[in-house]
Amino acid sequence: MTIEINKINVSFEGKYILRDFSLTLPESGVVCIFGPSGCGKTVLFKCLSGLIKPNSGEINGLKNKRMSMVFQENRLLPWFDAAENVALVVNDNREQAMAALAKMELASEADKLPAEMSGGMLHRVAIARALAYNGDILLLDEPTTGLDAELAIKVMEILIKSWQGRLILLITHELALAQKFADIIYTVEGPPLQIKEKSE
Amino acid sequence: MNPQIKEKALSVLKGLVVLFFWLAVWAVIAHAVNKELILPVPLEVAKRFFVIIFTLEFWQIAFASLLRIIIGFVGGMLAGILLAVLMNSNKFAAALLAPLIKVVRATPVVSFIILALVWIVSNSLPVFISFLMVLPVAWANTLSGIENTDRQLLEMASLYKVKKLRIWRKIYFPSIQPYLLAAVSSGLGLAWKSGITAEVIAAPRMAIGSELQAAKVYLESADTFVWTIVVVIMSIILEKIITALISRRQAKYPAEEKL
Repeated sequence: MTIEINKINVSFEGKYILRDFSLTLPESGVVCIFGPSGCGKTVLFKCLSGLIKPNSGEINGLKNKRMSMVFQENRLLPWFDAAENVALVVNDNREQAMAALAKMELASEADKLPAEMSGGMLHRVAIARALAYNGDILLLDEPTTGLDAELAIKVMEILIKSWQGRLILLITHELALAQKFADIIYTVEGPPLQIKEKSE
Repeated sequence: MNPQIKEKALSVLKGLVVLFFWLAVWAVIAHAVNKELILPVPLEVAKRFFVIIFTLEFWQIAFASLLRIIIGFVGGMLAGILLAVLMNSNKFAAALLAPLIKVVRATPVVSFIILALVWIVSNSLPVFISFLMVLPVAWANTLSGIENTDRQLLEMASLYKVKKLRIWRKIYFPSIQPYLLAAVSSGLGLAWKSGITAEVIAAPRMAIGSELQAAKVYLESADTFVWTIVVVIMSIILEKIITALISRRQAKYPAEEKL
């Protein structure tokens, strides 16, 4: 079932971030939203994930869908180690958490606190958390921040393999990454967010 | 010498110097006043201190007062925390209870004591008064802790459909711990002060406050000082024990950083 975003509006302090924004997303594949920082891409993601309720308009096709999301900030709990951070989203199932960390080549770092890890490692823990939750849709907001080019490609390949047959939405400002992995690229500008170009 | 031991020894020495300085100030003023009824000399108070603490009755009285303060304090802390949680999750409850807490905060402790004397038996009055004084402190600190919990972490938990109880246990509770520690520190002092004041006025059997009142009536100024010193010592020890217990748990949760 496709996802229909139908004329949604989101404004903050009188400024429109999304204005009558419409878009149809496929059931599966990798869709990239490519555009500069601050144009409203993350707000669109937050609407899709239910973290922001649009002022008006509707989003259809998301009922009962579980979302995995990799945020721009890693949003890890500083008082829990890597394994506990991942296990948080799978009812403390440590086995599942360890499997996801192993996919991110972090099994040996499982008992490290976030303060003891590098930026790249923290980002991979956040990706492992999204992997462990295994949502119906994967939202990736700048997923390769802090990773070197080789590792970024490896991580994207793992994610695409894990989400086969499901939808991945990718926000990035790295055109090379978008071109390498996305089935559809929407080039956007804003705010308010507007689609400038669609390429497949 | 091991640097840690050296540092500890220096800190003890510093404490002793401060203690002796203030004892000397006290002694000088007491000699200048030269009236034991108004201000007894430190040596006289020390003598009475050792006479009093080596009686069975002292320990019974100290334990009874301690018990009242602890019950009032723990009750006030728990009620304050629960109220803060309730008011944070239910706007109607917040609107309903906020004026009540403001009234409790603003009302002088002695007004409550006099009013409560009519309602409550004298033995329970110090417990009730300590409870009432600690509650707003615990409530305000817990509420600050909840309000300052990282919104981004809460958003993440909401996206991943983490259950409410687990969000409280794993995100809110570690976040509010420093605020609780501050509440313990100021709440304990308040519990002692208000509890002993209530004991002075209600004069229950076996109570430090009752002993203070008796010392005043029989013009035993040295005993007044002794019981006051006992309260200070017990308050400090209790605060150290409780903060050590919380800090031991807090050691598991390193300072929060944006990650």
